[in-house]
Amino acid sequence: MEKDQIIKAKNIKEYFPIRKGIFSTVKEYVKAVDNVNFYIKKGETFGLVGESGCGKTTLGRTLIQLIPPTSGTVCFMGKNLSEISKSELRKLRLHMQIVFQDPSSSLNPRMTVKQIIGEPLKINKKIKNEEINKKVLLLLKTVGLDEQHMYRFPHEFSGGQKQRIGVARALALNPDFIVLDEPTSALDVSVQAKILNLFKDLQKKFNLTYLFITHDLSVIKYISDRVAVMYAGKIVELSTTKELFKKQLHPYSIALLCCIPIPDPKIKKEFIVIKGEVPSLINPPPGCKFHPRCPKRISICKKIEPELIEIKKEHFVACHLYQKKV
Amino acid sequence: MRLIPDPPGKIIDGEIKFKDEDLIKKTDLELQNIRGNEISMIFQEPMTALNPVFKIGDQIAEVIILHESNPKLNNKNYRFYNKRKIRKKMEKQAFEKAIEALKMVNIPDAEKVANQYPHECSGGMRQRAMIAMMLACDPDLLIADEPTTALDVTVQAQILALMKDLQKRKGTAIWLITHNLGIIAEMCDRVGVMYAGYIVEMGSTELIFDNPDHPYTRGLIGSIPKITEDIDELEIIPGNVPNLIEPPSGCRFHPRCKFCKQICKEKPPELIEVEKNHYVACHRYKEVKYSELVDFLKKK
Amino acid sequence: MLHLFRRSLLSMIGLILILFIIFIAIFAPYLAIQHPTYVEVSTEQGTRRIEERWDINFQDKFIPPNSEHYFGTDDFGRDIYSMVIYGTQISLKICLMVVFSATIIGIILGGIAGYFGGKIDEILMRVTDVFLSIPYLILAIAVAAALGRSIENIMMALVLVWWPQYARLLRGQVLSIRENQYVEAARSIGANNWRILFRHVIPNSFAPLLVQITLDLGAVLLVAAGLSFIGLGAPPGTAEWGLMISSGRMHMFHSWWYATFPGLAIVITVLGFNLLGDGIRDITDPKLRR
Ligand SMILES: Nc1ncnc2c1ncn2[C@@H]1O[C@H](COP(=O)(O)OP(=O)(O)OP(=O)(O)O)[C@@H](O)[C@H]1O
Ligand code: SF4
Ligand code: SF4
Ligand SMILES: [Mg+2]
Repeated sequence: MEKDQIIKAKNIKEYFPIRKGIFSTVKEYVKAVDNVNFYIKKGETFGLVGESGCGKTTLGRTLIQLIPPTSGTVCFMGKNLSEISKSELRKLRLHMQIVFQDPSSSLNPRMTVKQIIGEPLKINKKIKNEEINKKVLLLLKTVGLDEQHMYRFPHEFSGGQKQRIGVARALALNPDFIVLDEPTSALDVSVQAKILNLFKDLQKKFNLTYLFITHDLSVIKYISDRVAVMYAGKIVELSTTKELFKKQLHPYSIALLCCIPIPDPKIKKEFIVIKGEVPSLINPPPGCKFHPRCPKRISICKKIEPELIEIKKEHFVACHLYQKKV
Repeated sequence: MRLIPDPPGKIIDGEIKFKDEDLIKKTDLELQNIRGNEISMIFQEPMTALNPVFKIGDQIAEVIILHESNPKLNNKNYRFYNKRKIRKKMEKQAFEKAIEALKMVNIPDAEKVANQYPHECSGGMRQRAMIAMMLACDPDLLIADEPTTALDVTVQAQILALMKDLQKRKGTAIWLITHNLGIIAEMCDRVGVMYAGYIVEMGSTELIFDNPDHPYTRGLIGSIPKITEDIDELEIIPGNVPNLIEPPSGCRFHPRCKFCKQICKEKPPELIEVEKNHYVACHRYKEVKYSELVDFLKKK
Repeated sequence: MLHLFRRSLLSMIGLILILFIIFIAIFAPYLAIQHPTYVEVSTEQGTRRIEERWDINFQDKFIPPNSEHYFGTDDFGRDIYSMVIYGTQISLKICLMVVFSATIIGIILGGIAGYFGGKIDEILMRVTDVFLSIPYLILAIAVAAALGRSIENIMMALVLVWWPQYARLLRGQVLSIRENQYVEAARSIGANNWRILFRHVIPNSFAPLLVQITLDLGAVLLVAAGLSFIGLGAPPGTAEWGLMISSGRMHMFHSWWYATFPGLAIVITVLGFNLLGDGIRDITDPKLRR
């Protein structure tokens, strides 16, 4: 069981301090990720959905150690990343890569495609220029671009092509685990389809593990094996994709799935409109963070925060409604 | 758009600006009156469409005053506008109307929100304030240009439900511009699909989704992942969107179309009615239809 | 690049003026009639340095402009035309060296401050605050007076007062550029801080500095000439424009040409730099493009 877990997060918290006043004293924290536990199996695509600002990106960045967690531990390939030495961490980190949401800001505008994709090779592998050239070309072909694109600058590419370049850069170091942070939300639907198919192909080819972050549930449904639903810095439901789309348990997940407009005019359903908006992460409501908006709220919800517990096999929910039944 | 006159209460989708010959002939002044009084527009990014230095209530009130006291339109209010006392009174009335409009779009604590500045409100609030501003003028046609793209799904659902509800109550026609096919299926009665500057297919929403006849529409619908189905591989449309400075000759979709024949490269197809309420601009729509049938039978 | 300049007549004129000045500076030995000699002198501080000397010829003093002396001669009978020509070299040397050194210092310190933030940022920015709170002209005068009269010393004084504003400017840019996702991407592929700073952050922060630099070339020239004018810059006997105006102003009423031609040279050069700077601003700022 433990063996096929490529990455495991235990009690991860990520608090960003807000400094105020003349003395820049820390008065409050943005609790972007608050006590999150989960693991990702080797070779699977793990989906992470949630509304804007609920801490998805922050969780992804914490996992691959772009920012150290405020507390909690991340284990990657069986090693606790907060215990190993710096040089070992640096090596391990190269096995984890990230593809960003905004393809234009994730490529340095003053570097050619060759320089961008070749950079990781240049830094980490002592290989000759010609070999870098060869490898870059190979990577370009893998992601569906070709030689003529090598010496161009990012602004000469469309959004979808830029995203391909970002993917090629992430692949350069043969990673095992890639965080895909809303890689298609800045793209057109027809381009999105191509990029999604590319991700699937690459996964088969290189045996990759993905953490796929998005707010688009239909994309999650298409691409991921297991899904976690995040709300205000916490995971509220975690299950296999099939199970979650068949039977959501958490009231927020139910509302979320109902809110999605389905591109089929025959299914005309009424939206279950949940009132209110996503809470602030600085002063989140006490108890269950969803309680001000929850249609099924019970008295205990205001006071005590529900824990994420396994209700069925592989199906975790954090809601008082289900806690009693266990 | 002149092809089919829009009966009020219909929702139409497209992806480019509204252009009506009659409007073009009108003078600026007449247009100004039409804008807002008859046609209003909701923009994609509510933050930039609202002026950050004025209170939300004042902004809506200003719109109301402007449209109640348009100069040279024989509106008697305008004559008094410059008298201070009357102006004060009008402003007060308008502000109250603004609060009413905010209430209409389900903003809780409308009085409070009216006295806030745009940056103090969340995206959903601002979008609702925008809608309130547009509704204040009671338009016949509301153009909504990607009204929910910047919003979260739950908030998006709130806004869409609100628009539906208002439409039911006031009988406003809504022209929804979006690239989210889900929203279209959910909201619209009729759809126009645009590709590279042309409407390539138009018809009732059901016909378009069930029975698309233009190769581009078919590709588009095949390329979206659906939560109602399990698919292994998404269909893709090869190639990229052409640039409009040098569009392809003939049918603008031909470099990416698998049905493309010689005629497609030479002659741009016209929008023709293939069945009732269903228009397609494609030389080979019959073959497309046929291949659809074959696909369907194969599946069986 | 050039076709962008063509859009604006004024920046084109600026470019031409500057090219013209550079041409003169390079070919000064061929264009001038008289030439200076260079001698090594010892300074009050005991160090030695090279100084410029021009032949003195009292018979020829105060000759008005004619076909032999295009700009006339001064109170020592030296050819003003030749001195103005050689002055180009000195002026360009001062502005380029000062701005270049100040830019390098400013980029490095501002880049470090903005990128690393925290304590380093705090300290560096307080230092620049101190510099910026003293009027730069006064600071330059004080430093130049303390160091003694020589071209090198005014260059040093000017670098000292000029770098803080570049550090400030660059820091602000770096603060916004470092938030770009490519910086994070570089970190995740194993690039270290220095590589990120010099390869990704600084090159992308530099553009707004370019405009400032061109405009400052003119400003430095003016200040340097001003310092020489009040007797703190170039040592006596040097063909420096400020110094020439300073000595020429006493003879303004009977020999107008003495102060006028070096003055014109300053005007043309400063104008050239300013027009060029404005042009570069228009080109690099897409919002101003029409
Ligand atoms: N460096 C930071 N300092 C302070 N606050 C931060 C920082 N990074 C993120 N945050 C805050 O943490 C919260 C979560 O941000 P995050 O980017 O993880 O959201 P997200 O779920 O990825 O949203 P989106 O879907 O919009 O990308 C936000 O409220 C954000 O303002
Ligand atoms: S814990 Fe209570 S408030 Fe939270 S989701 Fe469950 S029922 Fe709703
Ligand atoms: S006209 Fe021809 S190229 Fe255009 S969509 Fe129809 S079949 Fe394809
Ligand atoms: Mg994000």
